[in-house]
Amino acid sequence: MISFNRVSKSYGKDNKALRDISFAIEDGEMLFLTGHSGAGKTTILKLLMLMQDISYGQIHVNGQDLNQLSPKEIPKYRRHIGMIFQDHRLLENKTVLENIALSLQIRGYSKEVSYKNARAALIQLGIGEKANFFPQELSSGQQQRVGIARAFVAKPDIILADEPTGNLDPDLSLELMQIFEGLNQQGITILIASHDLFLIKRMQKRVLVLKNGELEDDFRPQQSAYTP
Amino acid sequence: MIKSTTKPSALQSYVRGHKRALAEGFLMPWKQPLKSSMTVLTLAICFYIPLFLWTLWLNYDELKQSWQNQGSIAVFVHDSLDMKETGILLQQIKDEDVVNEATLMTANEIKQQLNNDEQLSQFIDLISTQDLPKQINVKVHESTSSEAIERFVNQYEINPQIEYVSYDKQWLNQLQALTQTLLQMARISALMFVLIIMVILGNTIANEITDHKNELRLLELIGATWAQVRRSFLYMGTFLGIYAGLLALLFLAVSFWWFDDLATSLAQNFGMNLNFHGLSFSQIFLVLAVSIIVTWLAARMTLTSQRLNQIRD
Repeated sequence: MISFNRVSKSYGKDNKALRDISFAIEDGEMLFLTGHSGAGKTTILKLLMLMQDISYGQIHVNGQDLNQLSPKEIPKYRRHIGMIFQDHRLLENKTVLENIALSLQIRGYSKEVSYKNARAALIQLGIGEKANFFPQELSSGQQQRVGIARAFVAKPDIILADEPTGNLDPDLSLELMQIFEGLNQQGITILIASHDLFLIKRMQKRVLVLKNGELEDDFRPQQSAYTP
Repeated sequence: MIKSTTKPSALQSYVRGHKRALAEGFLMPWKQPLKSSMTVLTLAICFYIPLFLWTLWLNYDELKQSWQNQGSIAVFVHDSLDMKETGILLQQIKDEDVVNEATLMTANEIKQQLNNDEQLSQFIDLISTQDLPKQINVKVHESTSSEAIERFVNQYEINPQIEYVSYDKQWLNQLQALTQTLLQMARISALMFVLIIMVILGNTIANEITDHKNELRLLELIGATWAQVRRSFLYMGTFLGIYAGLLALLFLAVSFWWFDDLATSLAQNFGMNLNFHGLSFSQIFLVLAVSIIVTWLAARMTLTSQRLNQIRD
């Protein structure tokens, strides 16, 4: 379970990225985080990844207070989360297979086990034949699939995706959403930051709407009249 | 998604992590061979200069010992002592801890020896045998320090049975001072070059970190510990140390091969046999160990200082 309790984040004195945000996400939920550019979507993901410090308030993930984590506990915490970036962040000097296997190798799995599972993840995402390609030889949609494979191959509890369909056409975006849905059905909590309102509407999931760093709405499709 | 494979133990994780980092650290310098070659060459020169001075000191120290022991102490016995009393004095000197060998030379033997010298013989003929004192030639043990020799000399100079003790103290002191200067030069240059190594390697590793900044950030985000992130860079530093140490040893071998004839002929001019030698196997291992430790430390210090500046957002 993820819970934000009156969380604020400031950059400098006057620039408040998040203002007094509170919400909770149950285990196994899939939901969207939306809002205009600069609304605070990415900041929420960065706080969850401990890429930035919380200015005020508390965030709990699986019972752990993120403010209380020591620097030594941070890597262990991050291993429970898979992160997907809009710009993919794949290592260009490594093959697709090596990029995915890296997630498992840093957890101590042998090269054989890591590669076997990385290959299985690629097959699951329909790009098994690209295993020995380098990222720059793939299309944007294929690169994003590799990013997703890297995020889920180590079986995280939570997947955070920051604008995963940002550079993709509508058909590919929908395909990726179906992949996320499949992962969610395996019990993984999925939080997707996106401004693609068409896609959000189609997915019929819970949506947290941010505006100027404040939580404007938190609705589930059957509960709200919110029309993106 | 990871299948039902048993989760690796902490030890397995540790060993596998090191194996992977070792391979990455080994390959890292080869990705930019020209840049890495320059780094290794500079490091090798930094190792070579103190190494050359140290090796020179080792040879010189050995030579100094032989010089010190070549110079014997001459004890001139008082005229009044007959052969029996001289024999007792000889035994007393032989019993001293510092003495390795003591031989008595009678006036005739001294004259005979002097006569063997072409230049001196014409003058020696004018000296009557009775004018020459009996002499005890003393050779000290190899390990005897100049202070111990001086104590021995002082002790016998005040002995009433002895006329005079001849010992070139100044020569030994000068030799000692020269040796110490060489050793100090080796030490100071080693210290200076260790600092230079720290700067050079620090710069190399800082550049590597900058080149791999995004990779390092990503590794941390997918759950790598700082120890895992820095490991391959530490191995890279270690490999650079091995390459630089080996190259410095090669430079040393070439220098001594070139220097050997020069030094041997110089020594021969002073009537000495000099067998100039390089380092033993244990000394070579010591040099490699030191170069690895120095480069590893430099890498570690740089990584610690670069972490906050380069890796964190």
